[in-house]
Amino acid sequence: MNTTKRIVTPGELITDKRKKLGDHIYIRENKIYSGVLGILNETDDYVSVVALNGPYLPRIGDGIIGVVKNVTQVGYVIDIKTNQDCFFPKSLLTKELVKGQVLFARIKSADDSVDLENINILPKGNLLSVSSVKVPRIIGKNESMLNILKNNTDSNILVGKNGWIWYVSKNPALLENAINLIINNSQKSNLTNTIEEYLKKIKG
Amino acid sequence: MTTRLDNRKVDELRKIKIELGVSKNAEGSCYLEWGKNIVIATVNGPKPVFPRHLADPQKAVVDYKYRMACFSVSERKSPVPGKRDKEISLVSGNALESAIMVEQFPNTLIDVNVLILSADAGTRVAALTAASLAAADAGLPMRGMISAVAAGRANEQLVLDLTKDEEDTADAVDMACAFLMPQKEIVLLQMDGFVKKEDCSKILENALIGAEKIYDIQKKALLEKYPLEGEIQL
Repeated sequence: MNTTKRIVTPGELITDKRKKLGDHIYIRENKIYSGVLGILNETDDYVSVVALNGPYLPRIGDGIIGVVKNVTQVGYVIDIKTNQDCFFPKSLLTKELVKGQVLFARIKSADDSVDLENINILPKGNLLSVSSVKVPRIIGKNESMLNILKNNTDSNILVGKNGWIWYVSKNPALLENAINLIINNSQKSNLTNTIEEYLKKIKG
Repeated sequence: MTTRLDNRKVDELRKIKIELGVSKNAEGSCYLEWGKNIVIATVNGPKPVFPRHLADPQKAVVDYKYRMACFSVSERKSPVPGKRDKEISLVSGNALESAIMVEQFPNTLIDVNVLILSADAGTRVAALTAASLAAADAGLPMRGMISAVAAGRANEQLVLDLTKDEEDTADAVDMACAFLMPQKEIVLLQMDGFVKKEDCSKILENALIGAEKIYDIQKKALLEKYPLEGEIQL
């Protein structure tokens, strides 16, 4: 197994061996090529590429944050940061929503149109938009990064898989700074420790 | 061996400088300096298509807009898109579509805007090179990169990457080629002027050599945006 990180560009040859295929990979003439600009993740029998940027593609079971974009007679048009807005009927909710309401929901189905379930209305807070591919980095392994952010900036954070972050914080400027640091250095290793040191240094 | 008007070798490209992620509002963007050409390309999307009837249920629609700034040429160019702008937009859009995996995003639109800030021959190839970089920067799934370059003939010799002065010579031939790299598929081929059959294939070979150089520059620029090593700047 290769331990050093490698960035691949679209169309770059990865290997000519037969392997299990992960995300952002395509096959041409029995060889495996990268389909996106990203970090290569290759083991003995598996290969995938983690994109460094890109659109959010909804998947069943994803916990996402949405914003009510429009209220119609029968339901709500909800913006979930994908290429198509999703519709949720009024009859499935006991509470009325207003335009601009932020909510947390799970994706029930994602074929032609996206359907949501388990809608939770979020209290007043701030919304931050990041690229959806950076979300795993903000959460970290076993939520390690998220816990560091929460503890060191006295905030309550909820991260949606679609790249929207809802937060209530006593120190919003520091939190946003830290998140920007994570996003701009997401391809580097040992990020969690650096961010922890940075936050503790500023906190004093 | 006779030299060229700007003292380059016959197979030498002009100086290329690439910067990625220059626009905050676009998902992917690229600033490209190619000799005296200056190009800015942005990519947005996939997003919903308006008007709705333009949407394709099989694939995403690539809306490529090639525009020249009024001040990009010596005499003021009208900002209204003319025949030339529309034609270049159409053929370049088709070329870029062959690189992006459009079938993954049905019923959506991918918006590509290319603005030429300064023009000195070969703007359509510079625009396509920049647009392909911007699409990769936006993280769109792609089969490969589009590497485009112009080759041709000036002052009785076959040359690569013509300037405006070379294009204005009496026997000038200008062939704009775009390749899907690393597959080396031709996705755009346009030519001005008259040329013999043998010369034509020679010019095409020259263009492919040039495109390989462009592809290396593109790859280097993409890797430079995400340094793996180095301090995390606090």
